[in-house]
Formats: sequence, structure tokens, C-alpha cells
Amino acid sequence: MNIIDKIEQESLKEVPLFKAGDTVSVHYKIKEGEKERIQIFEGVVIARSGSSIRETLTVRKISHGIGTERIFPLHSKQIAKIEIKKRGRIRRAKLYYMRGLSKKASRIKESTK
Amino acid sequence: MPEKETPVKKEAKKAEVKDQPKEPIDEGKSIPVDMAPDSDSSIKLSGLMGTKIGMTQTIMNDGQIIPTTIIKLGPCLALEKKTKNDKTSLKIGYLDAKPRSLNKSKLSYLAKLNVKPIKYIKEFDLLNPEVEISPGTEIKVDMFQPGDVTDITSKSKGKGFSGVIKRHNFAGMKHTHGTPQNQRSGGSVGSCAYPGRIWKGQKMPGRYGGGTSTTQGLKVLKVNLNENIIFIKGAVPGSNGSIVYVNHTRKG
Repeated sequence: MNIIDKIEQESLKEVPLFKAGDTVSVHYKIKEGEKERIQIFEGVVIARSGSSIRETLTVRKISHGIGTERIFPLHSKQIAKIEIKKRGRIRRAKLYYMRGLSKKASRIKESTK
Repeated sequence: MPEKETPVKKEAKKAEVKDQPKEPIDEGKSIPVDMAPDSDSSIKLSGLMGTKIGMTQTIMNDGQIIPTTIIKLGPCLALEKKTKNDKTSLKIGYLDAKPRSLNKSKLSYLAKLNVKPIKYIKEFDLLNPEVEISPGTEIKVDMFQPGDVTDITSKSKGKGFSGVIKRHNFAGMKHTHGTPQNQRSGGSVGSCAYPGRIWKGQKMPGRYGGGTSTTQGLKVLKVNLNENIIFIKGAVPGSNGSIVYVNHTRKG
């Protein structure tokens, strides 16, 4: 194992198993002045990209009728928890096509596994 | 710019705060160091030699992601003190070598000092000239502390024969309004009857990169003494695996 892999290995967090198509809620720490609170962003994971310490997840949700996406660094210390709500049955790794679909068309069937 | 620098300042402050409770431990450590002259930290050098390993990211506790260069710095061997024009410097060596890969003059020089074969030798300023030096003393990364500012010199990546936009940051030509297909050319190169020639130093295409390059003001994020590794904030000239010289900054 080379030195960079070793260094990155040290700062990796333990992340639950999930993939694109799953519905997750990301508990994200937000600092307001002195106080710290947790904001929850719930939606469908449409992509996991990058590897090792650089890995990110893209979460998409429809909020007040407007499609909203947020990209989180997977190993960020600001992420308190990633909760998996639903396992989706999908056939590709990146679900960017969801952006063009209506809310009804973008429903994902639940995985039976 | 100052906004960008604040997290590092905070980091430096954190490091200072962290250092305070550690002081008694450090004092405890300093005793065996004195006993074993092989790793002498009493030698104060302006810089050290190392190998660039590559880049990665550091995730801070406040969620900041910092681009980080990893450098394997030292351990270097002290060789010989040199004095010239009231300036004292120390020759240091880095990286073990096979004896057959070195020439006779280098081998005999190292044999005279009773030091193992070494690939790279360079002089660095000695900041405390009165110190006694025994050849073969190891100098390690602990001369740098988190929060220190460094200047890093290396041989930059060769870019080959490059145009004027890459080489001299020219703006190039307009892409519309009937410009002929030379949008990346530099345009006119001289005047008219006066001076009747092209001025010396006119910026033109040519060989670019592959020369000695220094980046100033790079901050130290972390030091790992066991692995001889230093973590630098930002990018460092040169390709991975190239030799770099890490100096304490010249700018105060």
C-alpha cells in the first residue's frame, strides 16, 4: 500500500452500505454563531462519485415543487449520520436522467432484497 | 485572500493550544534525544531535502476540505560545515544509494567523512554556526512545526514547446468579429520604421517548464515524525517523486 492510500485510509469514516437509487436522510451539522444544530436533508441518492477520501454523494429531492440537489463529501466530519430509508431497484449507477422526469415518473420501485 | 487564510490561522492556534499540554511530554522526550547524538535536533537549518509523494485532501473538523501535498522529508545526514563570506552552511545528504551508482569523487568524499553512500548532496544555511557537527548525524522533519510557513523549491514539470497563452498568460485574440483562425496567437510583435527590429525580450512561444521553480508561503499542516512525512497546504512544483527543497520562508 502506498503512502497516500495509507494516509487517506486513516481519515475514512465508517459509512453505511448504500448505492444510487436508495432514499437516505443526511444529518448535516450546521454552525450558527456559537450554536451547532443538525439539518436533515432527505432524498434519493442519484450518484456516488469519486473514491477514497474524495468520495461524494448527490442527494436529490423535490422541495415545494422545485427539484433540489445537494452534494455531500461522504467522509466529511460535518455529516453526523446517514440514515437509509428505502432501498431502490435501479439499473444504472448514476441517475442523472431523473432530473428530466416529472415527480410521478421519477418514482423508484423498492428493492425486494 | 485573508478570508481564505483564516482557517489555517485557526488551525495554527489549535496546534498551539494542543502543544501547551504536551510540553511536559516533549521535555520527557528531549532527554533521550540528548543521550542519543544520532538524531540531533540542536542543528538549526534553513531547510531540508525530500521527495514529493503526491496530493490528497485533508478534512478539517469544521468541514473544510484542504488540498494537501505530502512530502517525504529527510531524514538527511549532516556532512560538513562550510564557511564563506561570514555565512555558514551545512552540507547535507539525502537518500541512500548503491555505491556503484556514484562516481569516485563522491564516494571518496563520503568515505573520508565515514558516511554511507548518498545520492543527493546540497548545502543549506546553518542558523546556529557555533554548533558542533559530527558527520552522519540525522536531521529529521521535526525542524518544522504545524503552522510554519515554508518556501518550496523544485524542478517544475516540463511543458515542451508552448504557445504564448500558456507561457506568458497572453489573452489571445477575439473568437468572433471575423478573426482569422489564429485565436491563440500573440498578435503583433513589433512597431514600424522605428525601431525597425523586434525589441529584445519580446515574449514569444518556446520551451516552457522544466526549470527550477519556487512557491512561497506554503503552510505546514501536520508533521509525522515516525514516517518522516510533512503535510503542506496547497500545491508544490514538480512531478510526484521529484526532489524538493523545503525552506523556512524568506518573508519574515
